[in-house]
Amino acid sequence: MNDYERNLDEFGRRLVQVAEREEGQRAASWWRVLSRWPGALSAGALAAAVAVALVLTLGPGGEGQRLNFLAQAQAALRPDGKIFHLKLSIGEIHGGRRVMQPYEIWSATDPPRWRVVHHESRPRCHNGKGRSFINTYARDYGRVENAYAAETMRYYRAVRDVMYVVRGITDDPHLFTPLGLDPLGDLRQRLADGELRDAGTIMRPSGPARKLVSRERSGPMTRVWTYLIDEERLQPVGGSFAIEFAGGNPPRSISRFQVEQYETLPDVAENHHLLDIKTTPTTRRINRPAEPSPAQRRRWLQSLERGVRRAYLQCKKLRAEQ
Amino acid sequence: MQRTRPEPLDVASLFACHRDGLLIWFTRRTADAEIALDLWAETFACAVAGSRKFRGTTTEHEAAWLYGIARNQLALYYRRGQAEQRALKRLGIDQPAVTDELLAEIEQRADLEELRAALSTATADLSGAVAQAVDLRVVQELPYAEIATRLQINEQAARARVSRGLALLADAMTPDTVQEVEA
Repeated sequence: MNDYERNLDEFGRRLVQVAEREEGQRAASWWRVLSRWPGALSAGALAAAVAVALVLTLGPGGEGQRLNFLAQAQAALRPDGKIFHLKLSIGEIHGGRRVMQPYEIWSATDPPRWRVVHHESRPRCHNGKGRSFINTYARDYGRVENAYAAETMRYYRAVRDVMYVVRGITDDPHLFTPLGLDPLGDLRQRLADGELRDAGTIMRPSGPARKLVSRERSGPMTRVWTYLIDEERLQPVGGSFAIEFAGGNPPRSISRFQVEQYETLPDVAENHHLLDIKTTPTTRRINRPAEPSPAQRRRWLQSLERGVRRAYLQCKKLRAEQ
Repeated sequence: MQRTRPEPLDVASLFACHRDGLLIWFTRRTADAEIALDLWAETFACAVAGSRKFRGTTTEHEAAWLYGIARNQLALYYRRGQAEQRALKRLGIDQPAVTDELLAEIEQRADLEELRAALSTATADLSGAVAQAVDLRVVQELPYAEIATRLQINEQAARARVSRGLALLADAMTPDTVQEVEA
């Protein structure tokens, strides 16, 4: 065996060892999830008996109740045969100031489909004297819609009445918001993976909400996801994402979301229009390939540069007019 | 519909199937056996770390998924000028020591000599600074520190120039392995 074979084989051995370790942890996590979910168990009476025994043994108010709540939340958020509709405000904190933006999301999982509606405000320019003003020349603002279905991504900008269509997208077509991935899908996944810890009840104007927290450490920073679930209706009412740094320093960046409206609708033909983008009879459709050629990429970059230059010149012109 | 536990990805068979092909794929796209080894190891580590996202059922799905990760890693390398090591670190996988014999064999398997000759011709189309960096690294095989000294830039900038040049030359480095996987 030469160095090549020895090196590659040794790496393969280490890789498989780690994969088995990871799989073992994941299996344990799945078992935990199943054992908390007696109502939906397919593993049979044994697992259900274990879960019930856990709840009975630990008693109300203890670990058993916490596990029970996680199981209930998971069952309530199961996507089977439903379209989830959420009205959200998503905001980010910059320098102590939070800017909240409204989003409306419809999503279904089997097969994966979603639609997001967002209203972008007209960009602001800075006049160089500590004041800002609206850029009346800006072209990118107003209602924007994104949708995914049948391996096709659609992107619509109402102010220009243009829809871009990209076909052949099969790799992780996740709904994306400023908060990260789809907040509901993300919550569902974390519940399924057993990554959330029940951090107790907090009081909100709408009633008691359970705080579920997931912490993921990576080097000197820890990413923290917090979800608030209405205790009675078992619906998400808000949450946040923050990055904490070692040494007890305060979080450097944080984003937050509030659920203004939450409902589930049956995933039936008469509701499918909710997952489609609303266009007009005159909407211009532009097809784009999923993988642009190098020449296309170059052209888009050039057009992006032109756009940035144009925005800069418009701001300059506005400043002169002020 | 009941939730069922997804079938775990068979990492041992994935590694056995794509061990050599993927390494050659990276080597011919970076013209550098050492960087190719780093990208190759990180790709397999990413596959393990993200195995729960794998939804395929056939070996073709596995191959397409693995090469999707590989393309992302390569794009990151082209953009940043250095290979990612995040998944390897997160999973705590150390790469075995690299020897000259190992690098020589990788270069031979990837037919890097012939590729270097082709690249040498193709660099004529690149801009002066980028072409010079690619030539010093790929054709003359100089270490990045020396390229940086010669071009009077820092090492990071030298890496970025080489990777940018290689990204532009990627069309000249299309091996059969990609077509086999994508077929």
